[in-house]
Amino acid sequence: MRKSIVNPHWSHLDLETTKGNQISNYQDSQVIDKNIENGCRDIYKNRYPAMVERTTSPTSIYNCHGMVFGSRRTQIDESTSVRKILEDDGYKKVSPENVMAGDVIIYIVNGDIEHSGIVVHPPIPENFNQAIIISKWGPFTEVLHPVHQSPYDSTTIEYYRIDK
Amino acid sequence: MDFKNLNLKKLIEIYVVANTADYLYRHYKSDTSIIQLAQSNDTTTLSSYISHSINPEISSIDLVYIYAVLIALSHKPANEVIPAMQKIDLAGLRWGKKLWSICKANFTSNLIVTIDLPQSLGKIETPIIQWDTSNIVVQKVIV
Repeated sequence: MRKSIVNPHWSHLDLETTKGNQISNYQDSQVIDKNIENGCRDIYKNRYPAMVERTTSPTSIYNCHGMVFGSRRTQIDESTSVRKILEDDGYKKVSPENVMAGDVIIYIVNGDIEHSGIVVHPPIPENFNQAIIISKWGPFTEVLHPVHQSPYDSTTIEYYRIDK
Repeated sequence: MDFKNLNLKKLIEIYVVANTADYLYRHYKSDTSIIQLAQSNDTTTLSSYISHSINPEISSIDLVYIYAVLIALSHKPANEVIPAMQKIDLAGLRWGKKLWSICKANFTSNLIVTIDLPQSLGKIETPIIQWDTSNIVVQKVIV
């Protein structure tokens, strides 16, 4: 781990794809203020009643992409990095009807991969054909949520699976 | 600077779930209270706020204010903002450099060039050069 020279709260990991390409990342040791945490929790629980927080404390150590692709150890916030990981690590696109638990989902807006998560339950009639996702919401907590019930635009979503 | 009209609650909500700088930019850019912030403050006031506010110990709320001001600057004329921002070191601000690069890429040119030409010149070919980030187009005219 390397400490940042510009901000004492930041550090970086040596993170590579399986093909050896460097992935830019950083950990941020600062956390969001408690009053902000509580206020936002109330707002989002009201807006997305089906959401369930899997973790109870917000952290800026990792974000959604860091949860999915960095083992919850760091933040990855560049879409180009996520695409490089998908390519280098051998992820294959999965059609929605073939989605399984453990597959990765990405939410795309104008080329920006604004969110990612891991499928917990595939889209089956019992779930109103909405996959259930676990994902990290920015510097907030990890959340279980139906695929279309989150602060992220789910108009364009893609599913991936490592299949080597 | 007067932040009383800023929709702080909404801006905090966005900040708390933002995974990428692009997400933050997209949502802040369209926020009407940030547009109002740009309209009620000049470029110098906005850029000075950023330069005086960046430090490693800023709170989440301070960060939201800085991001709001930075994106308010994207509503100002590029010829004012770019020279002012060149003097500010954004390296210590999380997403500072990335947000600024997105702002710069989305500035549109206000430059209008008028050229006196004969009324009927001929056929205008398809653009020779066209920049995605501005509305400047270079065209060739066949007489």
